[in-house]
Amino acid sequence: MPVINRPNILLCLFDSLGVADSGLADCGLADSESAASDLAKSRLPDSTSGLSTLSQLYSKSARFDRTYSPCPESSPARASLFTGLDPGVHGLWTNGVTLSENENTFAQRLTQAGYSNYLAGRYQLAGVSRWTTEQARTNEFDHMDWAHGPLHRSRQNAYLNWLKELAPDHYAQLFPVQPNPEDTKATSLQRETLAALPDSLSFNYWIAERVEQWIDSQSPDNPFMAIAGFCVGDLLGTEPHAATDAETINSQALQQADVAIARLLESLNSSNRLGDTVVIVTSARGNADTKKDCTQSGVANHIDNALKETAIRVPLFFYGANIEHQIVSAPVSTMDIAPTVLSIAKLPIGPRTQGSSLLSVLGGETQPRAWAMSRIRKNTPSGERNWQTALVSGNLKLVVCHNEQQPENIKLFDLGKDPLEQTNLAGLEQHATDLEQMIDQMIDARCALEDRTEPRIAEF
Amino acid sequence: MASANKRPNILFICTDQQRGDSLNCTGASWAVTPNLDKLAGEGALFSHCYVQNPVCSPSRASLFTGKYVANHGLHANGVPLPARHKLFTRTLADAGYDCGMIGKQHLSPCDSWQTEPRFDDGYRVFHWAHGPNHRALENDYHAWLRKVHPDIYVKIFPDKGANENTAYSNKANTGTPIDHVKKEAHYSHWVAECAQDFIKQTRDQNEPFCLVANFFDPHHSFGAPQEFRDLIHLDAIPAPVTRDDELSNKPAEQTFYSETSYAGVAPGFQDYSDAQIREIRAQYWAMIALVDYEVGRILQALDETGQADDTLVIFTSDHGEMLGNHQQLLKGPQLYDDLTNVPLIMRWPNTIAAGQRIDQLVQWIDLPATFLDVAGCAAGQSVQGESLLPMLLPMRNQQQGQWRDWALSEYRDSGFTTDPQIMTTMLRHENWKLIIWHGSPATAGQRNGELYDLSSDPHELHNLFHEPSHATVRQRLKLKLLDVMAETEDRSFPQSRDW
Repeated sequence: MPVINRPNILLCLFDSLGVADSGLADCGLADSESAASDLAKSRLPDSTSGLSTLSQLYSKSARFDRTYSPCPESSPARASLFTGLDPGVHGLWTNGVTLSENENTFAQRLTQAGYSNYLAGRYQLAGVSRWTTEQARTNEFDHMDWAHGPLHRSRQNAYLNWLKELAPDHYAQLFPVQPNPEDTKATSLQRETLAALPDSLSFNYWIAERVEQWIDSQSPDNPFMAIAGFCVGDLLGTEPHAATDAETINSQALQQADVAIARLLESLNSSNRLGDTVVIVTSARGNADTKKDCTQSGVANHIDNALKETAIRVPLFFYGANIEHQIVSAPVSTMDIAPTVLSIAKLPIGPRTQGSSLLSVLGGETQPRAWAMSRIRKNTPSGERNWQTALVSGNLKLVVCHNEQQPENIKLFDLGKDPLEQTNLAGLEQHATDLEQMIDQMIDARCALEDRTEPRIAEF
Repeated sequence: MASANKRPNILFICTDQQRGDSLNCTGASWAVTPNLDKLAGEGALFSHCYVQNPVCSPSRASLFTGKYVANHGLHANGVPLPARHKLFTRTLADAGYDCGMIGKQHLSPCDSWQTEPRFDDGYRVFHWAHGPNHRALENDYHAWLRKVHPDIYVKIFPDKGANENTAYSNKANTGTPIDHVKKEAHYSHWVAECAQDFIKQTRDQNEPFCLVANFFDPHHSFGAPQEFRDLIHLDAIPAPVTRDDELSNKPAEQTFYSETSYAGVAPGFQDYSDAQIREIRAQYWAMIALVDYEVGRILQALDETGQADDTLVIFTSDHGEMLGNHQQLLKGPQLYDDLTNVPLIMRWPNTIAAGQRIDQLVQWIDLPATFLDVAGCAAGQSVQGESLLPMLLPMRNQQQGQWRDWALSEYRDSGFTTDPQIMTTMLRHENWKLIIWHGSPATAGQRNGELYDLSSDPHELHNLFHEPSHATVRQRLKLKLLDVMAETEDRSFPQSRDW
């Protein structure tokens, strides 16, 4: 039997990092420099100087500049990322739904192939409200240090158990009372206390430390896959805002994650494992456009912004073993990550996958999909339906609101000329052809993403 | 179990490839369907029942799972139904129903004389026979024929089965030998015999029953016992519906499907003379007359055993047949009413008022929801259809909210495959029918499609899709289709946590 040399895989998975946050000014899309810098400025008023690791990965890695999440909600997006299936197929259609045991994540596939798997931090393939613990799926991780976020008070929150033991005073300050499942909002005192923790006690540092320790414990003869589930949103694992679970970025947590990735890269390098390891940096979804998204008065604004580029466009970098710097600017989907991981691991992708491998795109063997669909199917607390579907293709983006058939509920943007999505072209006579073409393409995209994963094995 | 007796028996009679307009009571004055017409008069007759796919296996999968084709995964003949689904018969069996299935099932590939595996289907009685020519060892019709009419069996099937027999039956235009046997030896007769046996003898007397009786007729190959052919007056049947140059403003694929059927596997409309097409149509109604006769015998068993009042009887079909209309035969990606509109009759004496005619748009996936409703079972979130009972019962009608104003049917390379694969989607809404012939989502460019105004063009002869005068309605319907596609996604997994 020939020995197949399977590389190690390190997935740095952010919860809510928009593409502009990861340190890019040039998004590979904008027609003019000024538009590109507008986009950058609108996202990162403090500049990206603090994010040296992400900036370096941005310029050194093979990166996909237009990677779209199929959903701006975290759990459906993660389910798609881990299964390679559209939310309409894996069935985890909104936060709080559990991914079916019938589905296999790429981690489960890797286990079957002999990989050792590890997760530290957030996973979220099931609901975690009321401080619920997320149940481990079968044959997925050899070990998991699960922690939905630094303020999520599940008894199994591995980070908090670590913090409690290492820094009991800080822990007591952070949580003066017992967890109450009816009260899952973060207090400002908690936020301040968390912010005042030394970096070495932060959630994202803890992740890097645990991942590093686990990798060090692995035999060099056996491939591993490790997931660093970073948390950089402002909710920190607590209850979403009333109107939306879109999060704004906690810049301190983001900087800590940036350093944490540097530490992991350095550790792989010093143990001579970087050459055998593919490092993937991405995010399940983007984030809220502005602070006002998350306030009660921002409900309408959120509905308006639910499928904006900031909410659904995420970074995607591949770095490490034999991967050269390369930029792909045609749209791809985070649904493509699962088949990519399988092909990195030299495994067959299998029929129950809708995404396609980006490795063959990087190798020049296939073209990227060049379109991506994203959707939200959420009802606001007042019962108002927020159901929208977006399609990007070329520079055009169509957003259809399924609530009423009003002309103003259809939006068409030219992302090349208008990256901030400020000018709706849908009602304009000169864009009537563009509009109908994008509607046609969205209908075809719906058809293309249906569940046809069961192979046809006979004529009838 | 006297308390359970309030739940009705369910007798589900389903034919194969029977057009909605093929009964005397649905407009075919030349049809010989006295039993079905009577059944319709005693119950409710639906004029606009649409199947979710125009070929057998995907359509039946929607019925048994209650899901749209996009969600159940059996998108084409030859694809096995994914095992994760729960069939409505399983739910009924769990609720105490005595369940049985007779005839064609087709939830798994049957090509090459394959036997269908049993699902966790809840059936106590299972008399499976994919078709009269299907030579799986487990073909129960053949087992019966060998036993009851050995001379006929040996004469027609002298050797062991060869798969070419399938091709032969696809190509026949006036039936194969097994279609012309005397009625006492016919597949349709066997279905009725088994059903009578279940109703009269073998059903569990303490529990309500659910019997699925699936006929193969009037599926081609267009042949029936001579005595039923003799009932049909060829001259009374009108010529196929078409007009000069009809296909020139239809999607080009329809010209291909006019030249050949089943994507080249079977002869096309154009291979036949006018006289041959007329005879095909006559044979089609001869098969329907046979089905009617045999349905009459099943209903008679209910009457004779005093069970008619306690039984909800449903008569329907899994899809239609082009039958020469629009210069096409058999079935495929065409989403005309010829293929998507099926007969639907529901009779439940003393509960469903007799003589109702329901013109609202209903869908085949509403049937499993209805069965679960009458059986007192929660439909559960996995069944996407809606119970039709509120529409039928005056008491519940008042509580009923807005009934859906659309119907959806989707062809996904579902019949014999083509290269490139053909995928089409039909939306019925108001007086309109929109049909999308899908392309790649990666490419722009004008799409092909069909748009019919059924109020002025009920036979779908004039395609308005490319008419500038109809650009606005075309776009409005496309957006409606996007809404419907969002509406029909599978959201059956419960949101058990708030976040």
